[in-house]
Amino acid sequence: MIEADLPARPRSELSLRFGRFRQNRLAMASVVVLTFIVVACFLGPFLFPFTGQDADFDAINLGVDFTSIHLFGTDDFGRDLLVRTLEGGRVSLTIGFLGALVAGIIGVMYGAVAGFVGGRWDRVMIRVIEILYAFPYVILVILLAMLFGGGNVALFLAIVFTLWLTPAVIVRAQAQSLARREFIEAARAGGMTRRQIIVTHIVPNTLSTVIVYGSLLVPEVILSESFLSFLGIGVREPQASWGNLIQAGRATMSTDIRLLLLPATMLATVLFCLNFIADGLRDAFDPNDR
Amino acid sequence: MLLFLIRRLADGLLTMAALLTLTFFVMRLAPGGPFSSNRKISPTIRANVEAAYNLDQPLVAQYLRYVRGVLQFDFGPSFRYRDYTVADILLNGLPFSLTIGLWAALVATVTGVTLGILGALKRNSLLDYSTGTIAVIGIAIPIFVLAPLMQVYFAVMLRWFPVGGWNDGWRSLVLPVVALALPNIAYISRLTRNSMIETMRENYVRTARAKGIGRGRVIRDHALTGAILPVVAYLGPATAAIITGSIVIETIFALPGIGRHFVDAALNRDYPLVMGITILYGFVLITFNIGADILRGWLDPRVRHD
Amino acid sequence: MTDSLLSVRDLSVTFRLPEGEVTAVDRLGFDVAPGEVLGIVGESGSGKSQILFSLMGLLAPNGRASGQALFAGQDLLAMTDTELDRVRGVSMAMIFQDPMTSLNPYKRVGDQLAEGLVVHKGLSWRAARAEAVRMLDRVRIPDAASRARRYPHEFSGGMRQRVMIAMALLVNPRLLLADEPTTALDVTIQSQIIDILAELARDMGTSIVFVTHDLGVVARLCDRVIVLYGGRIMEEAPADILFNAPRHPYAKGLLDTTPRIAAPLTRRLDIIPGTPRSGGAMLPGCPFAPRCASRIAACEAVQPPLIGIGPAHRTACHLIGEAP
Repeated sequence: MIEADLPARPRSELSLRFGRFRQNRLAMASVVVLTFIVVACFLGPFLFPFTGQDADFDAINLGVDFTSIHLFGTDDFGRDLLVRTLEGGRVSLTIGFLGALVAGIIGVMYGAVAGFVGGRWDRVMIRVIEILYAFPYVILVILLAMLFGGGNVALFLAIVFTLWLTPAVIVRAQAQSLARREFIEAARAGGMTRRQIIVTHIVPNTLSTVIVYGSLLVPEVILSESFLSFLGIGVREPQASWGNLIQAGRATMSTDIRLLLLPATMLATVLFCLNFIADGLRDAFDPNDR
Repeated sequence: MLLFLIRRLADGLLTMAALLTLTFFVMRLAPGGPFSSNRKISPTIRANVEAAYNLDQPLVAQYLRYVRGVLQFDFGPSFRYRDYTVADILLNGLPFSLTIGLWAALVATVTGVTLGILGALKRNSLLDYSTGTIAVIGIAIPIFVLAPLMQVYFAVMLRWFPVGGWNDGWRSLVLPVVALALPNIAYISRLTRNSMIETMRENYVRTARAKGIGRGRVIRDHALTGAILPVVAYLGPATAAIITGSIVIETIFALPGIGRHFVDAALNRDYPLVMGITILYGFVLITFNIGADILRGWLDPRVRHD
Repeated sequence: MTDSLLSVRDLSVTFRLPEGEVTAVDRLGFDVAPGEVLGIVGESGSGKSQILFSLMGLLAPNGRASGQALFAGQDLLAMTDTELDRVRGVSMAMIFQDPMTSLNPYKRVGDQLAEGLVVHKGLSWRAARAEAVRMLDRVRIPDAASRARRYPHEFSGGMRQRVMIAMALLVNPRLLLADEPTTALDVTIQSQIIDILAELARDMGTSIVFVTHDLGVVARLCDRVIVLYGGRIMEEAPADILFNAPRHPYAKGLLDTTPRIAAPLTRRLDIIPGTPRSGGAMLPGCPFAPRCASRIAACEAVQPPLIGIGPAHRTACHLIGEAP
């Protein structure tokens, strides 16, 4: 019991848990594959003498040909498919990781404050979350994307605005139980302000949970982005994203499935990897599974 | 139980009111929409629009009028399809959306729960592993990737089902319903498997085994309720997932349902229609959430006595 | 011992763990006569609960029992689950340690009781429910008829344990296995439960194997006592003999740790030094040797055999010789 009431030491605890994560082969393989895809998306396009938006009307609808410069061929504007897919990945991945990070930070702060301060503030704050939860998630994103006027920034804001809810709820529950612990009591008696306690004690102690759920946020954001781009509401032509490339590929799929398959495979692979990594992190971090 | 029901219904009404209010004011505030005043349109059109949506009245009056309309299933005229009201469009689309949505929900629940329980009872069997694999695939591959691939294989290559549309009876239903159900099958089977495994470890299941009533009865009469409760709790989120999915599925399979209208309306900035559909979706979601809670209360006496 | 109701020989219970095989019960043998109440006493981790679980076929999936346990002439350990279902809940029933979690929270209490009668005796649900109410009344649950229609969470811990007792005795078993049924309860409730159990067992002629670490309970209820340590029998004797003249050093120590009201208040409890050895490392000698104050060299090298030192009195200690 004495041990349980000591404040957790995030650093040593974290390194222990990452050690456990490293033993998960599937998760580690996913990290390798994901790293490869990320590097390819961000650096790959520079290897080619054209960009994904350069139309080459002498090379329209080329097929897969690994000996030519257009490895996976071109679309009906003569744009290189591989380069477009990599550039699309750059957009999707950026929105994915950045969105998860921002949504995570907002959620953690909101949840920590609501859970720690408690009382009337908490009731108001949790009510707000409940109401936002009543909207079907994608509907809310579409509404907000409309409200923010369309475009990548609007899309990003809309996704962040809807996805901070889950981390907020989870962190709130943790903060509530932490607020009753003795070391918080001690910090309060020692004259720390609420803000100091939240920043130095509450937030670091919810870190394990946040890492687990944060890792689940990334695929969710990527999925939403490509979902909306697929519907034509998110990233728009001529800029590429995996969502609108899949939508474009669908138009020609009955004759030429290549335009659908390459971006779809990339998206599915990334989602697989992110899910396996999230699973691995949960196994290594989940406090219920010690 | 009655108190529990009343409280849940009151909660639902409150959320519904908040949803209505939020939607209304968000739409009025949206830039570039028909309700914003800085749009350059001819005075006659403006006058028409203002008359149709009562924009010349104070905001609160507009709001009250809109709420009164919604209560009578009147969402005003559509902004794009001048000849139709929003209510007409909703009523036209609803049968398609409800048909595939309810079928998908049924298929997902029955298949998901069955696979989950079998997987839990025969852990590490071939069935368990294949269900697990399907679950991972279903969770990780988005339906807007899966559905086109299904179209290519089952409709274009095998010609078993039509690529899209609503003209082939039950055959037009199969691909959309399966595509819509698949991610939920994946999730529900995983959820059921885990909770079944946990329930089988419960002390009260051991008590039941000690009574010597046979494995079948132990599972059916004792373990099943506990195992199914998390699935019931998931019904709300599952409804949301199916609504979301139907938006893509109706687009991909060219079905004239509400989801398709929603995308069109969002792209065309048909604000009254967007509002109408949002409120309808919110209503469906809240209804299913209440339904799930009632079901939970029926299964678990501790919930309804709370 | 042909008149035994239960005759256990060479019972071992082992568990497969990531660290390797662990022995919880080590080649145990004992008998239970019809109508007899046998107490099995030991500290937590001595393997006492696992004895009962192995007899009922309720060991955790990673556990395995070997040896022989003849119940009315049939070997329980050799039975399949289906064969066991003709014994458990019919002629052999069990009460569990934790009444708060041992009842199904989703079913009415009366139905949980009636179920066994419906399945095993072919009664209609109506008749079985009526029978259940009668039994609830016998374990002194007030207003049994209306209580039977309630759910477990509407009962207190003591009430739930009475329900468990009613459920076990409803089928009129020949043998009742009780796994620390009073541990999770308040002290005042404990004695009520023991009274009910003792009275019913006597009336119905049921044999009981009562597992506990509470010697006070044993003194009130049991005819004969087995003292268990590290999965082995240290001493076995009729209750009055054991309480008045324990022979084994561990049994002596155990009796000393029981507070007696008669003793002067200033006397501190004689706690046995050391902690119970984990079941993992089965050393060659006596399991109690590391904590024993009077150990000799042989104790850590050779396991002392269980020898008779008096009528129905056996112990396993190098320091105690065989009865003449």
